Amino acid sequence: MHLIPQSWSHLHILVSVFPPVGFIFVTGFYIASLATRNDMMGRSCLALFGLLGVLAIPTYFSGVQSMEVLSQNPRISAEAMTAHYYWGLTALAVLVVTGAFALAQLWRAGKPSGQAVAAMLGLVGLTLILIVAADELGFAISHHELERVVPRAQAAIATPQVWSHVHMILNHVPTIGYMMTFVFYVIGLIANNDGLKRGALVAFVICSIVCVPTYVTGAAAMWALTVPPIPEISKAVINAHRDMALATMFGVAFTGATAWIELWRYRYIGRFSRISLSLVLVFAVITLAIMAETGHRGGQINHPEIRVTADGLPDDAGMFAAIAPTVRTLLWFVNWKVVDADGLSSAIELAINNVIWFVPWQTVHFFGFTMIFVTVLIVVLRVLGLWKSIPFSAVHRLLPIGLLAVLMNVFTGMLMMLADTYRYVVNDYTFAPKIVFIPIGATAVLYFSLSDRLWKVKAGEDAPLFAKAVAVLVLVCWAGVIACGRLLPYL
Amino acid sequence: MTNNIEILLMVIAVNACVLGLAGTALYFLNRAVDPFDGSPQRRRPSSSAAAATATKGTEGG
Repeated sequence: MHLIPQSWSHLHILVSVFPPVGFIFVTGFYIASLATRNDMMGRSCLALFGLLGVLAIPTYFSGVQSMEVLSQNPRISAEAMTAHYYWGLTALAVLVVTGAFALAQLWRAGKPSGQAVAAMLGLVGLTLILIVAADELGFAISHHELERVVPRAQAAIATPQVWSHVHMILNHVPTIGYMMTFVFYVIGLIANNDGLKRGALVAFVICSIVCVPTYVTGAAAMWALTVPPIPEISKAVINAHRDMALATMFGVAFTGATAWIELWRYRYIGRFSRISLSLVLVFAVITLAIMAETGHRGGQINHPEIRVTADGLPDDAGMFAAIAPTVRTLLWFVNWKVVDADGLSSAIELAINNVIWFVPWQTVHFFGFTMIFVTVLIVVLRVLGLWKSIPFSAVHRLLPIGLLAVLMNVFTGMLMMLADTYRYVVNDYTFAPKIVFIPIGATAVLYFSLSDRLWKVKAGEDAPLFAKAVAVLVLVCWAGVIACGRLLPYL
Repeated sequence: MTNNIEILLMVIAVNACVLGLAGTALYFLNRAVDPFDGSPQRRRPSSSAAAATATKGTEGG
């Protein structure tokens, strides 16, 4: 694993992804600091805006050096590089101004004025728009597969490259998001600031939720890149990447679930548990390490310019050879020949295609969605005004049933998807909307544990209007998930 | 060839394991916040503490 970049292009690719996703996360925390009047959180945000602004320097120099190297490559279009250069230059200039403005605000003591806050948010918005535009033009430089025209004879089996495009955008959200959240979390722990801790726990949960569509779009991207095959893209590297992605899913599940439970528990106890906060920290560190390796392997799929000649490309060959024969005998149901040759995901694909594995996990999936829907229905109906004799805090107690069921269903759903990824992800019209509903519904449920006004709704009282709107959104999303899932075999 | 009994046994085994784990997790999560669940001391709080906690819960903390 090369966390330290070995070429200018590698450094440029690594550094340039921090400002766009970093700005989204820091802006979220900044708005939260204004809403909760948390001075420590606000100052942390200004410092991080400043730090992200400083990244303009390595981004610019690594970009210029990369251009020099890549201009000798006949496959790279000079026009694409020029367009990216000018948009990038403008974006970096605004990024520097935004960072400098944030640092100036940090320098000034006291509460920022309304105008300063508006100017800060305006600059952040402008920077984000320009960086996104520059990034899109950057994709055009070496991601030629996105513009691939498949011959008509093979068009019927080809998967649209929009999946690869969406996957490349989405995968940076949990990876960079986790790093930014980790920084906020550590500041919160050191400063013993409950608002920062709470904000970071929420962001950990959101990052974990975003991993679901990231994994799914990755599966679709695999088809888009391998059928019909693209000569410079190796299936072995993709297999190595998706095995690490599988490990990442477990990492984010542990981190996200522990963070969510602590947010839920905080409502009743009114303080954080040191053990739980330490657990989140440990899980987050492990998950970050796995994510870094996953990202590195993903980058190797289609970035020949960052490959180090001395290293072989990552693949699964030999990776599982260290597993002792005793363990192999104990796990008799695993096809070790496939694991050794093509990796764990391929072995799961093969196993789950057998009815004896598919049906039990499908049954767990069915139990899971009934548990999710019943929990959602009870909480939502109370918020909407049914069972007013029950205080909101009483129905809030039920939410862990939903969390456990979501965990069950994400993993069983992933297993079922692996049985036939092409059919589910690419060939079914209702799978994409289902995967859009899941993160929206799961994120909206967080509101029930965060809103102070909703928490104070006693027996006989009506919930606030905004809470009712969130409740409707939650109900629509989870009903949509079930309906889209049921329609999979038919549409 | 897999027979029906094998499939049924697998369904029971897998679901019992997963739902059993989920049930255990739920029990401990509930015990962490509910004064009337869990350890003997928690189950039998003094009448004034129980009344105070129950009122707090009813009023939404």
